[in-house]
Amino acid sequence: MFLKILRKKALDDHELLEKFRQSDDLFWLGELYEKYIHLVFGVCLKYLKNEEDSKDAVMQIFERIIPYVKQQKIDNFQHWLYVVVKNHCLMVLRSGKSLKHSLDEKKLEEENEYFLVEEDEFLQEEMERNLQTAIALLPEEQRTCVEMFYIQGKCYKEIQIITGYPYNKVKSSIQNGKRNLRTLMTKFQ
Amino acid sequence: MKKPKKHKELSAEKMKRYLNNHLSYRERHFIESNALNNAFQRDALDGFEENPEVVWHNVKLDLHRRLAQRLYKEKHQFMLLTLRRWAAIFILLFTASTLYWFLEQQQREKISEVAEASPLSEKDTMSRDAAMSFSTDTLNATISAKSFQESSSRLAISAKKDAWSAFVRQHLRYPPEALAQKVEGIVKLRFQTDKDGKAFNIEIVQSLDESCHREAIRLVRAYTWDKNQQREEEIVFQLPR
Repeated sequence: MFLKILRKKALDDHELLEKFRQSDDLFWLGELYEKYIHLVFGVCLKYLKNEEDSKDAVMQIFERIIPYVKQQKIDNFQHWLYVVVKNHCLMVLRSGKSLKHSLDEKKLEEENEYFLVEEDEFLQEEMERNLQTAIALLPEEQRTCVEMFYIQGKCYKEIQIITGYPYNKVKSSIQNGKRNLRTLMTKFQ
Repeated sequence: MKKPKKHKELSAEKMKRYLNNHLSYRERHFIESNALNNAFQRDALDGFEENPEVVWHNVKLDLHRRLAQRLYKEKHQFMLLTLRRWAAIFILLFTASTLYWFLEQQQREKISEVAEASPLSEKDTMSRDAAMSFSTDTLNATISAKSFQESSSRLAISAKKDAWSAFVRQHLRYPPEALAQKVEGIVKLRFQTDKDGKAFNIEIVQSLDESCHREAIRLVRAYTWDKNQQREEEIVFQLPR
């Protein structure tokens, strides 16, 4: 048991994938999948809104990825998995209509391009220059929330307490504010 | 594409603590700002926050079990199956032996009852009684056990009967009065036996004449019976031919 934990910590996604490809032993893919299983379930829950359906989806997704993991070279397993999960959920939601969802990584990345951008770094560089201007241009709620979150380093809960906005409002204000900031600053360039 | 850095990962434990409000504001901010840059984490957190009735701990156990089942399906299916099979065999054996023991006990009681009821009756009556009680049972395995029991106890009973007959043959002193009057017939006695197998409470059920039943009582008293029983015995007075 102790050894297992040590081994689990020592191996990263690439090593686990490599082990699986070489040995063809599902154990390794299982180890890798368990690393993200809570996220997979969470995403399923977000889309399917049902515990049992989400559990089933988690198992179905595992079955689905087995052949693709063997064949494809996957650079970023976490991201690839997210796209697969999301597509699977959408497919489940739209089931009835016949949908051919390819698991081809390239195609999927095009669909979800925004995710591939290293948003964090992008923000940090740009924020230094145009931050004040851009923030000032945001709508009132978004500006308050973004300032508190990014500049003062507060968490959603704190912002909720201080501003009195509902929790979800705080959350969406920050997410939308961030997206708007990026668009604004791209315009400045 | 850069590898995701370790500290940016959202472990299940961290996520659980975040959702259960077990983290400081600072830690919460850290997780939230990571999630803003990681759609996977963001959606997962959304999923849990939007469905607060879902308890991750239970989900985790179930998923872990299902995944483990899937992973070891091929490898360990055989082993698991044999394990289960052994367990089943063990349980079957245990049940069978308990049943056998129980029925044997019951059988013993039945036979001793039969023996009490008609200790001197003919052999075929005995086996008929026995056969009747046996026919009510349906289990094949126990029937063979019982028939074994039956034959052995029949032997025991006939041996006992023989011992008593021999005792009577050996010790019966034909009363001179009865001999003179050529009295022949049966004396039937009912009595109980004590813990030493000695007869007491002797009643005369059927008498011939006084000398005969006195002799019968003498014999019954002299003989060592099975302990603690209620019995009825016939003593046949027959003139030598």
